[in-house]
Amino acid sequence: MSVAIVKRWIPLIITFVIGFVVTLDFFFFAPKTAAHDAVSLLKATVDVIVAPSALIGVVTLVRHHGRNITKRGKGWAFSSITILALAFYGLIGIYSALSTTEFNNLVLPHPAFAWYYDNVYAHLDAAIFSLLAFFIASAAYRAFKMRTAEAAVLLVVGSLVMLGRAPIGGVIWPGFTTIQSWFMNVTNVAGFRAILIGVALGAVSLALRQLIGVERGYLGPGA
Amino acid sequence: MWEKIERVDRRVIYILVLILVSLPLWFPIGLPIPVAKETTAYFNTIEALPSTSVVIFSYDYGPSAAPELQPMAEAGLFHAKSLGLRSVLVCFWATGAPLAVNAAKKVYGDAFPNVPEYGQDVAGGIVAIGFIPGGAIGMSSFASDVWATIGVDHFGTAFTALPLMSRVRRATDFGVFVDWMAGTPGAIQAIMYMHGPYGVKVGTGSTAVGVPEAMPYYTAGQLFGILAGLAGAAEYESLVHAYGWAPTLLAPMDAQSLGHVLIIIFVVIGNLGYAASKLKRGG
Amino acid sequence: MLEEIAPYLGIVFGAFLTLFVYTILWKENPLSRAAEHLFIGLAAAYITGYVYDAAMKVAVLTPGRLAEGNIVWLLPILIGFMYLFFFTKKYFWLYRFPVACVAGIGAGLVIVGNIQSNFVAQIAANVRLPLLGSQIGVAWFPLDNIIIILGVLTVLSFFFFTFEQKGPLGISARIGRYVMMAAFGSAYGFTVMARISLLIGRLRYLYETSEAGFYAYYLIPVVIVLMLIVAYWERTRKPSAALPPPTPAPAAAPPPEAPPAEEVPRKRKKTS
Repeated sequence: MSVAIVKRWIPLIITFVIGFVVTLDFFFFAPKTAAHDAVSLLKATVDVIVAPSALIGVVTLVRHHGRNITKRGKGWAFSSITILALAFYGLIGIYSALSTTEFNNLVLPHPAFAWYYDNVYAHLDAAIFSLLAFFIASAAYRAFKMRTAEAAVLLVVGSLVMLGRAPIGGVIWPGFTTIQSWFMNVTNVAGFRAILIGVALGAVSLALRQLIGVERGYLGPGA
Repeated sequence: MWEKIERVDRRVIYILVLILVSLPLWFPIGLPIPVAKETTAYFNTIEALPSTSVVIFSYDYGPSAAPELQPMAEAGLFHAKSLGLRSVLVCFWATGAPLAVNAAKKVYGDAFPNVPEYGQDVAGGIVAIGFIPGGAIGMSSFASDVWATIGVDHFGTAFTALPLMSRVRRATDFGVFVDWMAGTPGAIQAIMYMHGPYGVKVGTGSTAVGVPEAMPYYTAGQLFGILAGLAGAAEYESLVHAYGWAPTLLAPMDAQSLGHVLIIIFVVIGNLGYAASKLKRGG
Repeated sequence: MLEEIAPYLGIVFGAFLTLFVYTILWKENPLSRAAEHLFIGLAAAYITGYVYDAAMKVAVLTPGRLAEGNIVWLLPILIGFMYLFFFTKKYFWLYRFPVACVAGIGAGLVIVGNIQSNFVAQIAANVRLPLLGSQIGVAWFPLDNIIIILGVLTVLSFFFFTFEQKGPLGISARIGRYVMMAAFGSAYGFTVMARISLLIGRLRYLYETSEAGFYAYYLIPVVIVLMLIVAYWERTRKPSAALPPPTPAPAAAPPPEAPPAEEVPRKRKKTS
């Protein structure tokens, strides 16, 4: 019984207490009061707690690619590129942290670490995302068909907005700019406002269920 | 014939896109750029700020969104500096921190942060706080109490050594909060955790993808302005040009125009082919 | 010397990696795969770097914390690293503590943030709209506000499943669908704009970036040649060791015909 209390109930109680305190702070604690300052400190503490969660992805990546290399699985040569890149940039990071106290042993501001970010990582990130332009053009040609009336509405409005938002629309006919502005300020606002209201209700109900312990999926299996 | 047109190799489509978007970059057309009212609203709000105000710029994007957001972020920082406003650069996306420093270097010079204005409560004063962890939690924490959330800037200098930061303790000290947004956390979270509880004015420069979702907030008065993607950046540059900012997006907007026209042609041809094959099948 | 060649190295890296990624548009090849795997490895290292920086800045270097001897701030760092128990079976339950902290504060913030900004404020904005008025300053068409008000109501009715959507509710839901499609059409238009902007950004880098006369696009022919070499290598490399040809199976006698199965009467399930 005590094992269940530690493994299941204490995390649920932590969730409830912290969430309840934050909600109280919003409604009842005025700024510059001790209670509000305490909650601010709590939020800062949770900032530190949440930061290492990103390491789960890094460890998973190393495990997956490491396994691929040791078992000589499919594409193991590319997995070794991943691990080598991780190790190399990681070593640059360690060098950055230890080489100088100019930046209080921080990594991101160091010129060596920043150079690889600006000249290697940033270009890869931008290039991979820029491929989407080609894919959306291909999809526009092959996949976006007016099979139903709703699809026709979507494509006609989309085309008018595309034309109106680019300078060429105003040159062809100034009305395109007005039409685009109308769609964005009227139908777009109507549609997305309703969606926002619905999503807000859903999010609040899910958060309440989480706080009171009905929704426990976030704790993993066995909760 | 329509079947052949429908089944054209995708690489032909890719090559057409590449050529048509590249051409205006080499041979600019010079199309005029009309300014949207959301851009004008953003510009006018910054113009109306008292000269001792502190503007918080939040660089919540990565290199993938930099083509759209970096030009407006640089122009925005230049605008603030030209008006004598104080700027504080933060990021709730880790990939935004180096981009914030790059924008500051573009406006303040390559010597940044070793510039006279750094950390000082003077006209054009600037501090780069860098990455604050926690996402939306970090944003809420930053709004509640800046100094409790983080006490050093991006370069490891304590706030106690930066006079400008003595004026920035909590959200009520912000003149405005401007979020250069590519997703979550972004301007929407800034509205939820800064505008809602503390009444901070929030503006955004967003990737075009995020603009439709941001429009209800603008029409509700929760956002004071929106710079919408590359077009918004070009429009804003044309307004800030009055302060000496050299516009850089005239040729890219021509390329954008041709790209849009090409996509519309693809949609039309694709649907004509679909309609023709449907008629042929007797559907 | 490193400082002198660094700008050229930067252009070489940036241009080569951009072009390697673009080779995937022709077909999947080792160059593009290598670039993708390189990106993943660098991203993982960058994540580790910023996690370290975040912990340092908030828990260590901030005045009054670990750097000044306040060891209480070791606790959130230790709790944060309990996330790594995610990978164990026996101690998996320790992973729940940091998750509980974050989920609690996240849930609290979601409640207060959404209710005020996404629910009350949006409804208030809709209610406050004057019935007649133009959103874009076109005086001769003052029906914008009515369209917004009715549009919001009809889209909300589309998501209302408590009653069957027929009659007036069905009509309202149908209109709501069209309003939503118009909204998604605007979203599609802006999405296209965003994607093309990303391509323009890359092309500007290739065409405009230079260092003392050395332009990034000079490397395009080099990558084309590399692609041809890779294509030739893929075509000429030996396939994996050939499997022995299959031996023909000996002609087997057909199995004796099985007797027909007895029909077992199926019990009918009782339905309530």
